[in-house]
Amino acid sequence: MDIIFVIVLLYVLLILFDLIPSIREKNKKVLLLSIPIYVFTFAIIMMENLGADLSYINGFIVDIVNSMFHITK
Amino acid sequence: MTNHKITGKQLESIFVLFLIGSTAITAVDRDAKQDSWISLLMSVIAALPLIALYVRLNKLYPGKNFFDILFSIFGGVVGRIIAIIFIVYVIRVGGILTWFFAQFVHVLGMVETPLYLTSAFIIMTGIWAAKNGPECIGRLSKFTLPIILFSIGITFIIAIKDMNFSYMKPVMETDFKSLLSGAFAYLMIPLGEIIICFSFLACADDKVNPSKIYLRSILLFFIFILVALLRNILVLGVPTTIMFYFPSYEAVSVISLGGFFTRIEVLIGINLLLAGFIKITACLYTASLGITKVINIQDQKKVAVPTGLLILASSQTQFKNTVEGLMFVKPYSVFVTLFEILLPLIVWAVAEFRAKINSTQTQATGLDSAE
Repeated sequence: MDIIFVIVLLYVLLILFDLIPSIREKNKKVLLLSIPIYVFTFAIIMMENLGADLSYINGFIVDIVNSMFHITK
Repeated sequence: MTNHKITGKQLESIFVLFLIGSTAITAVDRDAKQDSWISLLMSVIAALPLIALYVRLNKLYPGKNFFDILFSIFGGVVGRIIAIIFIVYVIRVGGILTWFFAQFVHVLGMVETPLYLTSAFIIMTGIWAAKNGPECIGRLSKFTLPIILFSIGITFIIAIKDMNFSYMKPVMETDFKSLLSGAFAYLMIPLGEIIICFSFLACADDKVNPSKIYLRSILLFFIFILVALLRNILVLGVPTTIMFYFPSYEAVSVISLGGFFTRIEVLIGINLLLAGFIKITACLYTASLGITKVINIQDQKKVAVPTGLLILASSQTQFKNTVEGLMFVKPYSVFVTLFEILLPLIVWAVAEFRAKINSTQTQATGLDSAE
């Protein structure tokens, strides 16, 4: 559970020092990009550290390349 | 065009550190074995046309970064789509590198520390450097490069007494296919990845000669990876070298000087982390610059944190373990051909075509006005 605390702490610090200044500046384009990225990356990092296996993208690349070029492992 | 200016020396340092970043720790190719130096030489020769292509692109669009060129050539819509694909590639490279360096720290030093924590520290420092702009990355690189080159050189000199030169034999025993496979791997990782640093050329001083910078960087890369490669093979031998995940670290760990100067493998750890940090920061800077261009805002610093978070999340979703990561190198080197060879080739071909049309139009307008 320590790691969950560290993840939350990191995001709180980033929100305080990066996101809130952007909100104050009313920079809409930056906010429209930043807020979804904050939520998405927080979810991914939480899931991975809670034990979910999300490393399938590389497996997908390996399968495609191996099926096309028959590269032996 | 940006207002930041970096000198030729700083640019060269960024390129060299970007190239030797992750390769200095492995150096030896698992297929080419003791003939890895031949593969390395072949890859450097094969990289020359790529370098010529980048230099030509820079000549056609002076002072423009890769994303500006994409937008100029392909227009707003197609340019944006290609830019987004390229940004995803850069973030992925940054993620793999972050995972690799965090794994290095995890396997060799801080076994109990979660990968996430190491990755987060690397990324946060990278964000700080990227927020300070390319000139900060340039100054950091110029300061770091001599330290790394000195440590590679000094470990080679101290290791001479422990070297067994018969480990290099038999020379040219490896079949040509394995040599080519090794050369291709060196060409794609890290030589081809230098496209990520293309955007730094736009921030360079006007006096900078890009072809000179690229060639000097590749030459330095070749010399220092060759030194690291020879040190690893001559000290450990091929079977032991390919057995380890991080052979440079293991080779230096057996080196000692007079029984009192021992455990200098920490130098290799510092090497890797310094060079790796610059490489990750270069990825972060390029990706944030690309995002800035895509969403059409002026300040790259405003998107440095979200880009860093994307790289951090990407590093968390890489591989289950180190073996899986090492097995990924060959298929990955084929996959990245799309971004490191095909994409620059298409961009160059369209840029040449556009330049030819523009020059024809200018000539025609000149003739009309003369009449």
